[in-house]
Amino acid sequence: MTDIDTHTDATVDSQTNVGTGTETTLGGDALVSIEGLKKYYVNEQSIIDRVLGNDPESVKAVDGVSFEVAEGETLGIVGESGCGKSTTGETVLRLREATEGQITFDGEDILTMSDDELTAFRKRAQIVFQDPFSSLDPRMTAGDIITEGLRIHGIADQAERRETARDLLDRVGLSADQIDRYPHEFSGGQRQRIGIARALALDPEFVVLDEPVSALDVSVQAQILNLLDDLQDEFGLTYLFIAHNLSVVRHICDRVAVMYLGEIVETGPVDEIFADPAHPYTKALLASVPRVSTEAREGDFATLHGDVPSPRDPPTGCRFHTRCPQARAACRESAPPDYAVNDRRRAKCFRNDADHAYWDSEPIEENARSLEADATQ
Amino acid sequence: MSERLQAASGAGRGPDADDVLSVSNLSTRFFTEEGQINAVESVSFDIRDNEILGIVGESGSGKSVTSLSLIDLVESPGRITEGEVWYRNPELADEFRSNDAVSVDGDHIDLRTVPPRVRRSLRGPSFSTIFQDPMSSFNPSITVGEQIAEAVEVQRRATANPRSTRSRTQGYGLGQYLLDGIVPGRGYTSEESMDRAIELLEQVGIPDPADRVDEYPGQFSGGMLQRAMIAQALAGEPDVLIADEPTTALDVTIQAQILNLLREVQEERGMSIILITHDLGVIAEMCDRVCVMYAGEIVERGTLSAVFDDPVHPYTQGLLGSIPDLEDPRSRLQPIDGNVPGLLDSEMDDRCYFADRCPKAMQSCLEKPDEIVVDAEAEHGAKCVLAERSYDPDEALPADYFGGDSE
Repeated sequence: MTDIDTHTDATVDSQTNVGTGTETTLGGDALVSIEGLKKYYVNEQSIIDRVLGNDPESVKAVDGVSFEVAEGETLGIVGESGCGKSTTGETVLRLREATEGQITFDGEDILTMSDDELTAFRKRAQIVFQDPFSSLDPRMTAGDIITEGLRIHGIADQAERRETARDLLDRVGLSADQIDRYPHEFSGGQRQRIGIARALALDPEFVVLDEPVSALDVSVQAQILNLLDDLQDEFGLTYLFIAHNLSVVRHICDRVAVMYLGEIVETGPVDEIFADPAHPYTKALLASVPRVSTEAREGDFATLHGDVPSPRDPPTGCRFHTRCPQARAACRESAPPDYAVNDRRRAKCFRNDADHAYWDSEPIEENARSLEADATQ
Repeated sequence: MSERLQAASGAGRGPDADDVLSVSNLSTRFFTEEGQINAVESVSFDIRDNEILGIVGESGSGKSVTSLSLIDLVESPGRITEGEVWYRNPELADEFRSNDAVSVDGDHIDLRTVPPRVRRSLRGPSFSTIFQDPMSSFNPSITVGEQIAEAVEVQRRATANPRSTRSRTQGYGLGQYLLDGIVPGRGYTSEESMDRAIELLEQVGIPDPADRVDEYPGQFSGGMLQRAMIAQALAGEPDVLIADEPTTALDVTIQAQILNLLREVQEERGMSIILITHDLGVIAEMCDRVCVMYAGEIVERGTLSAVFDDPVHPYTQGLLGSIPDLEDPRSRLQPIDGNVPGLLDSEMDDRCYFADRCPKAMQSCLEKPDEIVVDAEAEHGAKCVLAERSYDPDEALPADYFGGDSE
């Protein structure tokens, strides 16, 4: 991928500032930095394929992603289902093995860590999952679930662990008396609080939040978002917040990375991106969100036709050209590099290069067609 | 207009002429081993010609069961225990006018009093439903085209034999089944209905419909399958389309496409849509009037602007305050404390069901409030004492009144 090179230039400054093993101060320093991360899921080869020497088919879930998360900030990863955002989150914590790329956490390379180092790393980086119903063991009590990490890492004796669990339950807005209850006795929102308490038990610095509120009702969702906000202030946490809901991302994130088909198409501060998106996909995503307002009803609000193409066989050139309302012939031919929109923002779209051949090439006619003549796959 | 609101809130008046469907005091209960669950509690509303009515609420508020109750799809252990569902259909009304067991009021007929087979025969030609999850709503082993053609065939046989209120599928017995097994080419669907299926698929924006009718649901993407389900629902040319969370399983860009399609279809065919969703944004984009449900009751209703701009019920206010604003991100959210109640009859006290989560609960909330008219012009009503008086801190319930069990 050509874009990796272009991106490296921009990240050199912050890279050099990363302390090796020492505590970095709250500010612009990168706690986690990801370079050219790829994760391919390879299909099982059949015997016939092997005999014929066919290459195994792979799904390019994450295909050359680079970003950084600064200490104390919340970076949002947003995109539609199948764009690779969850895979990115899980690969960053090495819950899945990366196919290629480099992940640095506080100066240490995660992908080359030995088992012992990995255990130490996992004390500092935790995850909260999307589904509060399937991510808690139904046969463990709330207290056991929360302190499982402490037990595995051999921290504190049983009495102390129980005390920690009570404190945490209290901290996440549950009652300490509920320590001996089982997950099924809690509602969805309460279970998600337990999931958060579990992630906090080891006093981590970095938490991956994988769609933490998407399974919850709006009123409960707001409670959890407020809680996450408070906990970040209290414990000085760094969040990688994965979500498909743009309003939620806007609310909680400082910076955002927009993903489409395994690539990050735009990154930058959330306010700037939402006010003036530099990539047509970001623009379309924003326009598609139904607004909770009684005024703005301008008829059509669908701006994209068709479905997301399969990541098994992504389109050539710019991956978004099959759906992009502003696509031109140039987009079909080559993939746009990661242009710097300004010193804080980057976007993968030729429209950010005023001198590019894109402006002289022919618009792709069929993309301008209306919804009736919808195109797919 | 205020009369109309009164009627809607269950004062026992008959339906208006432009009501396609008028529901009054509908209650649905589930009789489970754990006890009786009051899923829908005396709900009244009406659906008029050419409108999109929104029903919004959190999970467990009874919005889906309400829609299932309308078309009599509530399954055991659930049962509709009370209520009237007035449906405007002059032909049906004439047919049953002389029947004492059936309530008829002008052109309207109370579907709760007609025989079950009549209610069954109305599904498809009169009411259609789009369900939330397209993947599990289609039969995976029959082609999409075949499944749409079946719906077309039901409608075709219904129009060919309009006076008969027998269910169009009921004539298909064991003998027919055995015959079809032996004699090839005796399917329920025909060439014509397949052609119509292709036409319908084209109308809902599926490319190459002629090829795609022969594909199986697994070969469709989620958004495409939802389009196919809309095509199937339109096959019967229904008066009322019930869309139960039609876009919840879809991505935002696909959701926008489907909502646009629904709006187009509604305008083209002039039918009425009941849109059930938990997403207030979808309601704001789509609906003319809104009902807000909580714990099986409609707690607030009115035109979109009345309910969204001047909500009276603290629950509606809480819902609106819970949504992060895309335009103004930094303000702290104002969520509702606690959780949605379980609706178990034995645990439901005779009071305002929201009082235990309500920031403005007062002594008078321990009595069940009636629906109070807020603004007759906007048909705005709320089941809350705050509709006619203001909050008085002196009367507030102590914070631990409900046992302090809420979060």
